[in-house]
Amino acid sequence: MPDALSLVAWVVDRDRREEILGDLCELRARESVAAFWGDVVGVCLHAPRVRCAVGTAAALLLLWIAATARDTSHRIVTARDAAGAFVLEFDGLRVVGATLDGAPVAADRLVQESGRLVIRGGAGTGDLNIRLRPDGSFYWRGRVPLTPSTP
Amino acid sequence: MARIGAFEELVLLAVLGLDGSGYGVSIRDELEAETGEAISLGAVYATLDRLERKGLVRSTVGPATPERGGRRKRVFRVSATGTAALRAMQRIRSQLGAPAPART
Repeated sequence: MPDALSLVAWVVDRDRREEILGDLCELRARESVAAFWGDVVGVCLHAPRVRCAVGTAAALLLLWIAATARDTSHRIVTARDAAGAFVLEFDGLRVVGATLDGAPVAADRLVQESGRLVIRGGAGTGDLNIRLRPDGSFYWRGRVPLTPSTP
Repeated sequence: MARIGAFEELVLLAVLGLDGSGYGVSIRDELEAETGEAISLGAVYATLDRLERKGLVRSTVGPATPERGGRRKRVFRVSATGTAALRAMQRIRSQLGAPAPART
């Protein structure tokens, strides 16, 4: 069985070591083994050194999750720009289908690469440029309706 | 005035009640007896450290005793700032609990 006081002596700050070990020594004489070990664990978990290590580990874990987590939900979003309504079908962060003004867009008109999506314009409109963010949000620059040139 | 949390206030009150003889174990015992709940010794130490950094308690090291394996206690006493903080908390509580004056 590991020596609880040695463990605590290693974990707690040097300037608090003597009083904490003395307190635990007192408790060991009067408490059950389970209660005593509960106190040992409680003291270790609240020690600044352990809290700092746990806090750093938790922050690193959150950063790793934020960096690697990807939205895998399927959703359909309707939006509108100057040229009319458009619909995007997302599979996670990827756009797998679109309609412009109610007409399905052929797959070869969807150009998607590293956070950018361009939907090639049909007759009468320019391209629809969309910026896709890793958090699932997206922003677009509206299509410009192409006006027929006048003679 | 230094702001104190609910647990900090309890620990301050326990230190005050022990009148200069409070140390880790006795403060925890006092808190458990008064609240009827199990209190982590580590939480008491962490709170005492915080209160001391805020200047609300002062500590001194007592003599070594055999039941502590020859180790000394650190005993705590509430400072004047700590007493003022407790009074301020009591005043806030009584004001919050008082019935609102009737509007005319």
